[in-house]
Amino acid sequence: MALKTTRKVNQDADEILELYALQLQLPDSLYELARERYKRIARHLESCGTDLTSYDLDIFPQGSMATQTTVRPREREEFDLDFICHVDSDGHAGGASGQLTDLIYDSILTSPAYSKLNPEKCDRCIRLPYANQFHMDVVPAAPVAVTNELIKIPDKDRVNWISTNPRGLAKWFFERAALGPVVKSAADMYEAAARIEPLSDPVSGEQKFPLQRAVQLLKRRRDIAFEKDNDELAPKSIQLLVFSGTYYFGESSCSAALIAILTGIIDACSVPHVIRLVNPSNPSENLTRDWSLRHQLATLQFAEKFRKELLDLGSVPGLDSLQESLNYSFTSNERGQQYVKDAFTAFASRRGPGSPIALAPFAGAFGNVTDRSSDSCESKPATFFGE
Amino acid sequence: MRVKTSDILRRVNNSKTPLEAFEIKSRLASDFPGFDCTEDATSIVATGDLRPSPSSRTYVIQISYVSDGLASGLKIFALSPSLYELAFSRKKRIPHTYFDGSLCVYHPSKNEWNLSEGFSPLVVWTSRWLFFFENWLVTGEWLGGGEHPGEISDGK
Repeated sequence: MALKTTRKVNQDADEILELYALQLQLPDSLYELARERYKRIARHLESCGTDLTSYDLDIFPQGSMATQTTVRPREREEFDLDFICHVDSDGHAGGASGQLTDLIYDSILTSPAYSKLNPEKCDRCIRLPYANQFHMDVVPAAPVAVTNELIKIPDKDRVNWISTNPRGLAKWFFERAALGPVVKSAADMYEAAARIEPLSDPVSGEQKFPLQRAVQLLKRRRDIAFEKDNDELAPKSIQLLVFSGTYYFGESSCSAALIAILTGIIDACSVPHVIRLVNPSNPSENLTRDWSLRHQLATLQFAEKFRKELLDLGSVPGLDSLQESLNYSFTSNERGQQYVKDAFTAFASRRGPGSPIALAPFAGAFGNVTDRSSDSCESKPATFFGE
Repeated sequence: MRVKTSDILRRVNNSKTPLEAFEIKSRLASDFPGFDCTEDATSIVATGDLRPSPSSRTYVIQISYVSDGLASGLKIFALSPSLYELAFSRKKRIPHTYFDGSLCVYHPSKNEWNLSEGFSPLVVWTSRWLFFFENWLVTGEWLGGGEHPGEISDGK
């Protein structure tokens, strides 16, 4: 079992990390747009006139949409948003998974509006590309007999199925997240409800559990670390999600959460055999079933490197040096560097003229300013002048 | 005739209660114990380390008030590290500095400071200045507000 740790970086770096994570995630406006579009697709599929309409449909978000841990892709603007389209059809459940994919794809195409989007039939989903906004990936799903939440989704071969439990996983994740400072109760965050699953009210972009921020930053660091080569060795997002929830113990800052999670990953992966990472919502699912020791070693090295980078953030001299460190860890192009810069702009703007956040200097290399000086001086603002 | 610093301070303050140099020193020592303060006949000089925020560098700053009987003036410098070396890549003049490189941490025409208040407010304002300087290194924008000569104040 991983050792609990409460190490974190300093307050500044923590705040800037959170502001940077805010830059990474799906903006509230796009979240609302995705919500509207998902409802529209659901309505269309229920009335499109194909064989699909003779089945009960259950449509709901999964993955980062469900856990609200979206991270914008590195190389393009569009987010990838995943939805499950569960078709209550034992007949399809018993057949080749590709047949259900084909049925949903053909049903989508009955709409001229959706046809214009040129939807793409992928191995496991149908992708609806909304340029400059997001890709909506609709994943077909069929029932698993005698269960409430387990479903099955197509395997890559379009013949077999993989059982999974996305609702249960999201529920578990929010229960773990709620160990931290409560923004909203875990039960409010995710609702497994009606046939057309309403997207939960998004936590306002600025309000997130530390665990959510940690997952976002972990995914972004993973993207950068495995960008150039060894992409196939990169840990999958669902693996990072389960690792994160497992090794999170309620830390109140995202940096402390990340360090705890990475320590847990390091402990878990430092064994001479491939570990079994069980899906907490589906114990029969081994999330590392495709791993070799090479994959495990790659994840171990990634976690060790990232943890060291985080711990070093607390001692970099100067905000500009902090920027360089964040650029190294989280960016690989100018667009990414701009998001880091935007985080610093937000950080400083919060402390600008008229801001309620006082800057209490450290006088002497490690000494603290006294209360008297803060009170007497901060109550008296001054105007910078000069050229 | 040599003028005593205390006499200068008395005149500058225009106060019935003269502010002795030792009062400036003792207030500063109370608020910022790490600062060294020296005085002679015509000047008071305070030097110390300042770190504006947990992620900031530690700067050595110097605040000096000099009066030679004809004129008096306050100067604030960041002695190290060199702000110009740090700003070199920006290829821009550092905002809110005077031509001699001293920092401008308050508006000279707005009565925001006088010597009777001692040096402690200057330390805090210098800290804010350094914080926004470091952020300017990152973003290229000065987000600490302020005015430039010739600008009309918007009253904020």
